[in-house]
Amino acid sequence: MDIGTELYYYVYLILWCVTGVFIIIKAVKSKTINLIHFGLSLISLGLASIPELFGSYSGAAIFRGIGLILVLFFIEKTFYEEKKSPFVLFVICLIIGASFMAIFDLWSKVTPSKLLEYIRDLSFAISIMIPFCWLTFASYSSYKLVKTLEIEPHIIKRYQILGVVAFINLIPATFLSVEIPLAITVMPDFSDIVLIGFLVSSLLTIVFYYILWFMPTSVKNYFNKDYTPKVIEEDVEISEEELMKSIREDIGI
Amino acid sequence: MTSIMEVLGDELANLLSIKPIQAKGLLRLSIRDVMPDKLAEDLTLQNLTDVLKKGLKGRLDRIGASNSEMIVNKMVNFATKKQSLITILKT
Repeated sequence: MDIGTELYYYVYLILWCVTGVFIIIKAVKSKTINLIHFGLSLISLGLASIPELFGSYSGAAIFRGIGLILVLFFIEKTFYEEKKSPFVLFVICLIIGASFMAIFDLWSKVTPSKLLEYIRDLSFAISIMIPFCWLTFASYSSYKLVKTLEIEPHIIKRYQILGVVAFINLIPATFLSVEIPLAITVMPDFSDIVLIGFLVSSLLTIVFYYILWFMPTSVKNYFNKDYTPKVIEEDVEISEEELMKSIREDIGI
Repeated sequence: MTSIMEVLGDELANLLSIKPIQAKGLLRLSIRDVMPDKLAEDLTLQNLTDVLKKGLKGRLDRIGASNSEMIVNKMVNFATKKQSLITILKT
């Protein structure tokens, strides 16, 4: 393994695990259980770098499989609770995908073959695409639903950011699915481009996750610059009977 | 900062043609009826659905609203469709 690849794995491991821990702290403080799934997914995906550093893609497949399934849990619990969703189907696909990653990695070590390595990489690429395509779709669908509400624009922006960051995660998957065919045919150095693509998409992902979950006040103010808050009537202390009576009068009963 | 109660309150106010502050009050009473030990901000989607189906339904019936069933269904549908706001507004 060359120094560049090794460095990439270390950067990935640290960035994803630290971000995952911060998100879990935030989730516990705000009592948002589904966000814990998301934080744990980042840690699990980050930890996949450790077996990869030792050349064990089959070991990494376990961490990746768990991490990507946790992303599915986050999407299900955040966007699709009490609604029909393809959650179970996607979990089954991911288990199959992670198993393919592990099996074809071990097989390619026993019988070295570019085809077996390609099937391994393709399984990983499809496994990444399943949750992040779904997250892109869920974010965009929810964005369309909330954009008409009278709420601060920075809240609506967060849906767009989530959609963009999910889409960015599809970049490494796309690279993976074409890496071996291109490397053995027209672009022998394509692996270097893949590494740069992975690094850039990882860094962008982390930056967007921080903006999404820990949005600084200056960024909030920037998104809200053209927003005029609606006038909210101050809470007045009235009795339950008075409130019920006033509603009864207003709806004409 | 917008809260889920404000979003639901605005929707209920539209459906009942009352002031948002009255709608929020009605929702707070509904929460107190069904989950007296919970804060509005800590409610999950399941909690909210229970509050709307049991608490709000009861309150609307006590007011004498003729279309309480339809209003509750619309509110549950609204909350389910926009459930991601529960996470986004809490974090």
